[in-house]
Amino acid sequence: MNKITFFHCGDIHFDVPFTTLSSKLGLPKKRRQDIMEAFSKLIDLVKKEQPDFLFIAGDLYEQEYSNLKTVNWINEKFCEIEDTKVILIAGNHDTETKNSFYKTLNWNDNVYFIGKDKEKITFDEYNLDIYGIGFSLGQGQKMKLNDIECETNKNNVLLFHGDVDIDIGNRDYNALTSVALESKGFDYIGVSHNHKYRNDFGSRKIIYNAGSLEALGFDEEGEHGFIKGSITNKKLTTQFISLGYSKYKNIEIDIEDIETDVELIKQLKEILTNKQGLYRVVLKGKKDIDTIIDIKKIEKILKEEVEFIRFKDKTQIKANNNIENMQGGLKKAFISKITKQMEEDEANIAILKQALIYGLQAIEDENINITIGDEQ
Amino acid sequence: MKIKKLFIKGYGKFINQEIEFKEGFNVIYGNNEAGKTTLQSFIKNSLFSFESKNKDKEGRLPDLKKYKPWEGEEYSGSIEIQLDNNKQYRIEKNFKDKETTIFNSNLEDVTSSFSYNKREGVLFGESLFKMNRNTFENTAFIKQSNTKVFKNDKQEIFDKIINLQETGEEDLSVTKAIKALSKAKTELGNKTTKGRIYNATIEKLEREKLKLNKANENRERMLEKQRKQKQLKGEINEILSDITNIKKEIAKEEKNNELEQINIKRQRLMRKLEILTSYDKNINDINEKIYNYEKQIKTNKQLEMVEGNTIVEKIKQVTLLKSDTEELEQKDINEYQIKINKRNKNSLMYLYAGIGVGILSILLGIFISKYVFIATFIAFLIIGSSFFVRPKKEEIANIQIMEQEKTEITKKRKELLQFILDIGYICNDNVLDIEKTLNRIYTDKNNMYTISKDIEIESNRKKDYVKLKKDELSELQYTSLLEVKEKIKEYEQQLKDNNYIKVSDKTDYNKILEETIVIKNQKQIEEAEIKTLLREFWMNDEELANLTEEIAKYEEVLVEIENEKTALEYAIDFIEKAAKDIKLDIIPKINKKMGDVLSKITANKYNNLITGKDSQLNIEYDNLIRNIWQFSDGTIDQMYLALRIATTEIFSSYEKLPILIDEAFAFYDSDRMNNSFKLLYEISKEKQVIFFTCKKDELQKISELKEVNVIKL
Repeated sequence: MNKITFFHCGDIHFDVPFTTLSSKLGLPKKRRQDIMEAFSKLIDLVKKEQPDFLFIAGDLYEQEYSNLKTVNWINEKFCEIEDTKVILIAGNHDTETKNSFYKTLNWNDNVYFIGKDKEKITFDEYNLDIYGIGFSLGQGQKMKLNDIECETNKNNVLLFHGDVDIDIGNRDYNALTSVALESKGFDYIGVSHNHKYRNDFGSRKIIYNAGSLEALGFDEEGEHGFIKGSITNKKLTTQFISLGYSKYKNIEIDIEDIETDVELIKQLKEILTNKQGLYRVVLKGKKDIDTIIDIKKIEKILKEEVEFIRFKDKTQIKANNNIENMQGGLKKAFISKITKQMEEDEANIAILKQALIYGLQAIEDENINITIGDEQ
Repeated sequence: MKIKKLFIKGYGKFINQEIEFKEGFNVIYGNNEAGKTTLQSFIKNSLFSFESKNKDKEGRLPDLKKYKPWEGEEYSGSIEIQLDNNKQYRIEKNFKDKETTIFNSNLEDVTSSFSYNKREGVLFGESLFKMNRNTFENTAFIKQSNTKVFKNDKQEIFDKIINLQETGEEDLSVTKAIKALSKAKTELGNKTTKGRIYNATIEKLEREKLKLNKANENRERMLEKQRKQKQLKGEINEILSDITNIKKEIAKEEKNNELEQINIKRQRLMRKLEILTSYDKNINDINEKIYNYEKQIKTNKQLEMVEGNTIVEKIKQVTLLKSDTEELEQKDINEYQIKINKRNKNSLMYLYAGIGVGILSILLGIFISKYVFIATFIAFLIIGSSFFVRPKKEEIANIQIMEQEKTEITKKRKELLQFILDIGYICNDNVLDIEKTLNRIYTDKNNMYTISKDIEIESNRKKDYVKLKKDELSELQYTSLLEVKEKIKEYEQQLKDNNYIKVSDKTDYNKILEETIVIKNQKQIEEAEIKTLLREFWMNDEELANLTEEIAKYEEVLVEIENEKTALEYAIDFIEKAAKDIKLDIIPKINKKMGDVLSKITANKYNNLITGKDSQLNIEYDNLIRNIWQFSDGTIDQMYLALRIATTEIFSSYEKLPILIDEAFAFYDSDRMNNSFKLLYEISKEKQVIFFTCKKDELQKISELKEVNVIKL
């Protein structure tokens, strides 16, 4: 029986900046620590289960940001799993430039890099050819795929960093089609680039996108991890192994029936269950013009409850009787005009709401209160 | 709408207070703290829904809390009104329980016919008058000015009029609003300002961007150095292995040099050996020579004993003998003998020949006749000649003498020969040989003498050679040639064992080693420098990420600032639009109304109020357009009032609301007061006017007017 076991992951992005979370001091650094922890977990699992191969299909580190210490640490981790062969290809964040760490670092003996000039690596003891197509623009990836001719009597694996079946109309952007990929005779095609786990490409169920090892943004909710698989006598089985849920959470909350800040805070506290969580809260619903919730104040309070919280105000002003029953002067005309605009221009609702607030403050000869960030 | 009656069970300081109003002009007179404000509040709260906010904008307690009576249970009352369409309602309010009950003129409960919501309760006034509480307050009530400054001049009225023209509300000014918004916008800052939050943020952003650029450049350089370091390490390793190889070559060379030394020694020894061997040869030659010499001397022991003179004698003898012999030979007997014999022989020969020919001719003559005689003749000739050829007798005698001589010579000769043999020489028995030998003997005798001299010389020579050889050997510290040969063999074996190869073209490995080490050191220094640089660089963990995040933060702030600016711009824009609408739509109506109101007391002289640019106010009066400043204070006051009331009427078109005036003329002088009262009185003919005052003189003035309902608190 010829059996090959492997783990496949990618998009680890060591040392990446977390600009969305930059407003909280020290949080980006913590997140980078989270990446290291996820990777350590992965290595521990490799130690425990001892797969024959660990495939990392690109974006392992950041060519623009990664520190040598980090890359050395990664290499040391690879040293700890000497019995597993680690196969690397270049992603779009760690492309194969002249000074790429893939070239300048002395990687451990069990680490193999399939670069531009290499088509494949052969492991005779497994009767296995591993092909690698790292990231590049232009038609390079398509051409590399075209040139591949698999030997059918061998096990064949392809590692690819890019998109599958995406057409963005830009001919310079390589996306490979599932049809082309499946026609080559591979037993497993491990893809990375997209940060979401996908197992629905093509018809033969051999194309899998591992997703990011650790969730890296608000658009990456759900579970993240890696793919565990085996090829037994040319037959493929795979399983998604989760390393945990994303800390990012998007919440939409309708505040139409919520009258006060206190009430909103209470409701939110019930939803914000994860103290380590990173929350993006979108407020929706129509509110009266006189019951405007002080979002900045609420943000400030809830910042203490969770790791990170950011509000997005998409509430609309209720075009209601209150306006009708206003004195028919400037204020009424102004409010009617703006609320009408808000109904037509949903994209700019937040700004129009502020315009309404400031306009009224100005009309009523009050101080116009503008707060930028945490300052006045 | 007219207010007919109030009944307060409990509200503020009032308990069981009933007040009746009439159509037309009503005056409520009371001191400060008498309850005028309380009454106003009661009216508002009776007609409209309960407030729900905790505190209003100015931080004042909501009426609901403020007017709750300290004593007693009751917190309620009722108000009776009559609409323009003569429908009457009685509104009963329980402020404590927040309940509203409405009865129609038939005392039927018609509460349910009015809108209701949980928060605000029954919406009575909202439904009937199509306005909210605030609007009612702003339109029905004419209050004391909001400014605390005791202004008694036109400017205030003027401002109020302008505001009314712009916004329909006397307190609200478009110009002021827009100014405030613009100021707020400028305060945020832009490219031309300094020190604002925009500028501060841009500064920080630019600074961080610069840092980021530098950091990126630096990183690129460092990554390049990282690559270079790897390259250098490789090169250094190669060089180190080169150095090892060179050192091996040097060791080989040294070994070779050692062998070379051995070879040199060997060669030297060989040269020496040659010399010694030649010495030996010489010695041997000399030995042989000496040997031969000695042999000669030895051989010639007999010769030693013979005197030289004797030899000379003998030589003399042999010389004589030689000449004798020669003589004899000249007359050589043998030769004679031979000659004779020969002659004999010849004659015999002729004889035989003749006989032969004769026979032959006879024979021939027999057969051939003529020639026989010739031939026979010849034959006889020949026979004859034979006789002539025969030796003579003298000759035979000579021979005997000669024989005798010869015998003597022979004897002498034999004597000499014996002499020679006795000395030990070998010689043939002939005189020449003897002569030769004797000469030789003589020479030899001389030689003997020379030979001993020679032997001496040779011996000395030999001694020299022996000494040279000895010296040579002792210098070499060997005792024999054999030892030398053995040593040479030893050297040769050594060279063979170590594969000595003579190198003709020597490479200066030491020089190469030096140069290579220099290069290695250079590279190592370079590598060390890079290492230090890199170590420092990689210590700055997360610098780029931090900078990127900082930049993102500032950019976020900028976006926020932009958004706020945009909001302010929208506010300005919409205010202007709204103002325009009002100008086009409402203001003309208000102005017309104002004209109507004023015409009651001014007989149609006022036609239009025109707001020019920069808040210029002009009035069309008497078909002439005049600036408002041209008018007297009193007139302007009237205009203001008229405008104010006109505004109310335009905005409350559903019902003609009463006008409630609260201390509005507190600071007017009597003239102004008179004029204002005049107008109000005229107005009261069409609308209910309720005038609150604490001033006795006002009360007096009003009381003088006809049909005024005075209520004293």
